[in-house]
Amino acid sequence: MLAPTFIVLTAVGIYPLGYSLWISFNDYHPSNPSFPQGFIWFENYLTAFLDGQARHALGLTAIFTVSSVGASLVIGFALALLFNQRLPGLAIARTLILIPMLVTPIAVGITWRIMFNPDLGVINYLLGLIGIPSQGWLASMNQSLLSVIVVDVWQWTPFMFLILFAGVRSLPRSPFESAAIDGASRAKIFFLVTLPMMRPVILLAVLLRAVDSVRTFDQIFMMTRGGPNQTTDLVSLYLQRVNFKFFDIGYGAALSWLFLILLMAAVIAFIRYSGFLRSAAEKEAR
Amino acid sequence: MGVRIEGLWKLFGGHTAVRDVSVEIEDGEFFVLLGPSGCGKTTTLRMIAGLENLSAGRVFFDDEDVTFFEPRRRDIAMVFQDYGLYPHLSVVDNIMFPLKVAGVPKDERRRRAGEVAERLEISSLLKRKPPQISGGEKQRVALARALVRNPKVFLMDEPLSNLDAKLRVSMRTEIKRLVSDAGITTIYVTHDQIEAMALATRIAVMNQGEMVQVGNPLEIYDRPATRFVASFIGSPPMNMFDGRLNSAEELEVVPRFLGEAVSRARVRQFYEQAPSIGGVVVGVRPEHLRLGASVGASNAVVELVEPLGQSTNVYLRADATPFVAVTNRTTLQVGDRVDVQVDESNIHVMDKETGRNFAVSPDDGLGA
Repeated sequence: MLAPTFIVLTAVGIYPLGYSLWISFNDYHPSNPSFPQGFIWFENYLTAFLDGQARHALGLTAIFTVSSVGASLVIGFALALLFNQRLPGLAIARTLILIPMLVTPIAVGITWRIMFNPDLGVINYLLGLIGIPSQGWLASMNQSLLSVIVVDVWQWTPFMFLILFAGVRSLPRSPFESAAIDGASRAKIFFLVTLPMMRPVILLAVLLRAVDSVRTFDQIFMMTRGGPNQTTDLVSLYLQRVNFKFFDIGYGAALSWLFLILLMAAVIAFIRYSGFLRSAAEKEAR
Repeated sequence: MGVRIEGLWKLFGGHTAVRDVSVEIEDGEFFVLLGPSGCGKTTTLRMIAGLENLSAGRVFFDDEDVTFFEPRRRDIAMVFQDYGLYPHLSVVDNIMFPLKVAGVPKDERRRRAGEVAERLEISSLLKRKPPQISGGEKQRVALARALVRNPKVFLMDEPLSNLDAKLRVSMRTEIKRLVSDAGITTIYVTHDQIEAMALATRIAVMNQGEMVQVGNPLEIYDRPATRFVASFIGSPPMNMFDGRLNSAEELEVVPRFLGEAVSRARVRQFYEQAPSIGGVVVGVRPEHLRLGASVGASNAVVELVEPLGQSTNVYLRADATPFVAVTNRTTLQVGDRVDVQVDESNIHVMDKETGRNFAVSPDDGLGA
């Protein structure tokens, strides 16, 4: 009965994974005249540990992910709270707000590349109207990372908003009324009641967003290809270069595996530390 | 602290939830808002709490106008129907919450929470969280949280309705004891007339957004101002029959023995109050019917007997009309013929149109 599932899983999941693991122990360089070069044990992995580029990419990815997830969390939460009020016109605005999430990342990349254009872009034009001089944005080494973060936040805040909004809406009403009567100010209600009650939802949203953000590729590839001077060269872009520009596929596989292991370790640590997957039964037992 | 509300209105869209409600509640009083669901009692309470905006009217605590005060500035405590506990906080943190936001130092918070927990016998639960305790325990925690800070006014919104019957009775006694110990003005909302009778120093009966009658429990029971109050209070409910004030001296009603029990003078008295009205509703409480052994003249037949231990419900039929009587233990059996008697002072005659009880003088209890 399980045979078809197993065959499909093997074909599309287990075999490629296993094969990439195998390749990562080989000097697999199809563009070399001497291809295939054969088994080289841990040489690719050793190279990876000494690879300054890889470390640089990893650092950038960390900065990118933390900033993007952090900013979209704050903005998304603020929007969720705003939309929880009963104000006219919010139903339509709520739908409009979701649009960025629905746009293909490639299209997002192209659109923002045009908007960020230092000479022709609408962003510099608008800033000019309020007297701010033209900025380099994607072309500037100082602003390129910030720019790609802005785009990621723009595209994925709606997703954050959606999850958090559902969470806010499902909160029971009476604890908030209790708190108001117990003498808590709005700020205290937020920090002592709303935030802790939203904790599981926030953690889930952050986890989903972070895992997604770490793997961002298309928009940034369209906007900067990792430049200028590798200031936006995230792990995903570096991997793309290693694999499909240098055709050093054995090394690329090794890097991918290391990255996967790091990511899994981070996710497990996050879940452990936050304890949000701890079951109700376990809580009961304590 | 006394609470005074003046001309309170609440409109939800086109619907009037509360209609011109005014009442003055004395310091230390246990005041119950009683009525069927949807009568506006909870909305009235929430307006006193400041959780609901008023459409019109004023709320005073003593002589201070608090109409536009935020709930947190009113120095009140409230117990909600679903308890309103903070699910992420332990029991002790729940109890200490009002003290924490008031900036009470940590040691004192702990001491006071410990004291009140002791009083409510929940000391063993302090470290648990609300999802891990039972409904009755949650109720106690909610009460503890309300009691811990000595509020000026206690508000309770159907606090017992989620508990099972037995627990409800014991918590009822406990609430009465705790609140009278604390001596704090309490406004309590319920749809349960027995709960209201048991707890209240005064009851306000509400119906369709209006306050129909205000009075102490026995006043309301003995002299219901309207047909609605008469039928809402009492279990089993008051027997009601359609009747007619035919002329100045005759009350025509089936079963006939009721009409015959009312003297001509009293009929005239009713008639003078409403000479233009023919149709009336005649009511008599089940326990005011005396069942005598039939000595020749009998006017009713026993159809069903419910022995409840303390009392017995006897379902009877007279002149083809069913009604119920409550007696002590009885040897009556189905099919027995009995002689039913009633004092005229126990017969209520109410206007069929307006529901006003002619047996109660118009200024009795209404408007408080």
